[in-house]
Amino acid sequence: MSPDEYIQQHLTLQGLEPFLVATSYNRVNFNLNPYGLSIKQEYLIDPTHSASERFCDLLLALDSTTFGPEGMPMDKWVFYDICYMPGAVFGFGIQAQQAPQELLDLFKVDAQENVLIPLSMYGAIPMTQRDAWMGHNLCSIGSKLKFRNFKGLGTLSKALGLKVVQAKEFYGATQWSSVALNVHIKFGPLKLYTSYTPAHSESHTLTYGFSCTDHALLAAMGHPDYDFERPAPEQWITPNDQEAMITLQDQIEAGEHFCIPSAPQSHPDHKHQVPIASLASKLFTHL
Amino acid sequence: MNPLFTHFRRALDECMPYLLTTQQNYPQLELAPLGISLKKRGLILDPQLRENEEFLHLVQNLDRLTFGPLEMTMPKWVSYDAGIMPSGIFGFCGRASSLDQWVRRALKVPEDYEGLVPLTQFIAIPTPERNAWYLHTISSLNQVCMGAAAPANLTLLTICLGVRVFRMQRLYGATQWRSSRLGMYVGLGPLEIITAYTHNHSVKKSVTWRLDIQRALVEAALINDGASVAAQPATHMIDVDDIEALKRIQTEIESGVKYHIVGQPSTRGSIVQVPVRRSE
Repeated sequence: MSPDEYIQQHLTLQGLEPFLVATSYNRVNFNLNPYGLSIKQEYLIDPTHSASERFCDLLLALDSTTFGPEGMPMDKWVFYDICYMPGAVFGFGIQAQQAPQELLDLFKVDAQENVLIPLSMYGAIPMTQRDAWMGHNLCSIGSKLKFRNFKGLGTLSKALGLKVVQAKEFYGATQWSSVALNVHIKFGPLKLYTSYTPAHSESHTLTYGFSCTDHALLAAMGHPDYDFERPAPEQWITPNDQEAMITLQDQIEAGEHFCIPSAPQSHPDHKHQVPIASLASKLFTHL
Repeated sequence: MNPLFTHFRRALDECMPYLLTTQQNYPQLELAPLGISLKKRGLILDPQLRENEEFLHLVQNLDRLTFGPLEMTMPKWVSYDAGIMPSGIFGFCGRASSLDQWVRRALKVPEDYEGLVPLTQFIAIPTPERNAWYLHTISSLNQVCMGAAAPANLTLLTICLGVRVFRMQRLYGATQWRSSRLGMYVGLGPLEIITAYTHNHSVKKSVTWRLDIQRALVEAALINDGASVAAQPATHMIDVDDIEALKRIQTEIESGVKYHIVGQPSTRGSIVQVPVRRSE
């Protein structure tokens, strides 16, 4: 199955409308047909225009409802300053007239209102390093809804969002305890840039990255023809083990290279444990 | 000394430029903005190294001190995601010993700390438009510790060198209409208004603007006070508290009319007016 067919026939996306919030001068640099999925003109939302206010308020509501996987909701000015103006927000929604009562109630939207209700969003901003992007917000309300199964909507939003902005390299920061690691790891083994990050609100944050190849994006979205070689874990870190994080950080600062090769595993006493592998001796082309 | 910096001799004698940026971003940056070598005369730090944690905390304390009263303190994760990771933080710093005790307390400088303390910070985020950036933060300890912390006009020096460090050719920003900062930005060139009434900002009476950066105009701003020499005459004065007027201009902009801020805001009594130029 071709990548375009796979995305256009993806069950999770049926009946959903892709949207993009970006200024007109940023939008000209984007791919508005990721894997053949076209974004309708009315869902290309320019945050500098007054007509965008209602939808942008619903995005804020989505953010505060989900708090994002990272648990850090954003103020309106933060959205404006770091999402809309320098970067882009991509996601999926349902027109109010077609939305079930459950969704209308959740967002306090009238069934007759002509507005898209966002179900997921992915926000990223460009980096000084050309074609590199930093992800800062990923959320999906899919798991909170009963009327339909939205499995994988967050991952789809992130992968397609990165395709839209034409990212070649990706960086992100997340907490060791975050369930979002399960989403991020779908894009392949994650190269570690920091394992202990005092510059972040949570020093127990890791900074990671990967190359945004079609292979990585399609594998993340579950295309059966794409997969990864994943190195075997050599150690495990639990979310409260600061000593292990600092030791690893010291090794990174000394020039060693590590990755998170695969998804966190369950742990009897902690939320989960995160696998770590050295990149030193691996024939590993993904990172 | 380069004659450009004649008026800033005190600032350059007493303070030192600093740059916080990651290894990934470092190669893209200009390390001798307007001839001032950051390698020789400045401090270049990698914010991802543990040894630089203390200085980073002080930068974040500076942000809290300057934006806290506005309820717009940047959470540390925002600083990391939107500043440190995509670009960097540029500013000026000075010796902790040069600060009065009350300033040290306000900035939460540890009692036994005698190292360098950030006095200003400038953060901008790259945009997909080539060499265009979005101004995220600019602040100075002088905003809250007037006359007791840092030499005068350090913010102007910070932005003039900062736009060069990040190799900007265009800068966007959102600023509250009443902010005195508008006067500083317009010193670098006329500001094209992108939004006059900003529906998606916490403060709707904010102006989103676009500034084309030219080295000659940046240098001129260091020498001359007031509006940029590139600014054309105003056609209107906007009362920045006249919401209906701001909304009208916003509607006009959305239909293709151009407005530029072309001069310094003027305040008379309780009326603040900004000179703008309208063009079809």
